[in-house]
Amino acid sequence: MSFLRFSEVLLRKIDEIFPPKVAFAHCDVPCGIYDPHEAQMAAHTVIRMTGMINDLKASSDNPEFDERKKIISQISRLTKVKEDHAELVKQQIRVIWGDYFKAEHLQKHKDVHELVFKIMKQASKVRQEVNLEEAQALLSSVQKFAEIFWETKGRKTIRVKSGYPTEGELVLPA
Amino acid sequence: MLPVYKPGDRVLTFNWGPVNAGDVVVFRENKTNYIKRVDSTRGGFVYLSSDNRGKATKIWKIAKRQIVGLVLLKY
Repeated sequence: MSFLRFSEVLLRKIDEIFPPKVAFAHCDVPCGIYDPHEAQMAAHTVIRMTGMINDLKASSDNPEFDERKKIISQISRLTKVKEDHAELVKQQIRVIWGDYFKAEHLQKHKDVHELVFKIMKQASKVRQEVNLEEAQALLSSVQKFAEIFWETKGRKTIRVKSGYPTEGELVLPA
Repeated sequence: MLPVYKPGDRVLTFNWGPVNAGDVVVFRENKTNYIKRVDSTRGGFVYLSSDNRGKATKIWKIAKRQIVGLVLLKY
């Protein structure tokens, strides 16, 4: 019997004496917990990946095959993360917009639909391009969305330094 | 928390030491235990999300004191 199998058997025996408590992975009802924090983190990640791709340099105009391989591999990895996080921005914003925002919110914030549409298009644009200005524009729109979101909850917001390598800001409830 | 944690899985937790992004924790909210993965920690709060992003997209924001324990192993 392997050590892992032994540990499993032992823990199951202990469970018979001290039954474990149940932990759920999901709540059963809509819990009303939404936060634009992850969308902001993802937008920062897009900026970071765009910057890192831009910073990649070859040692010469015609580098050796091994160096080409290394650069291509690095660009592939950075691009994948950029793609994934641009998509994460869209997903997070869509969920808050679709699940959280209600008609009464829109009466006060009439530009939410337009802003979400802009974020969707901008997130696609940063996937298509390697453009730092466009990535910054995406973060800027996501931050605006975060400010509107917290305002609907009656919370004032502050902009704090993220501490990320992007040196940008995060919008947080005050 | 699919695919790593399935219904019926048991986990062993411990409740000391720091909590970092990427850790899986069990925490208590409204008298119920939940299991989620840590996205980040900031200002005494812990932001958590699910592994199964296709079905669970919400971000949980909890106070650090709500954490019951860090998941050490699954059995």
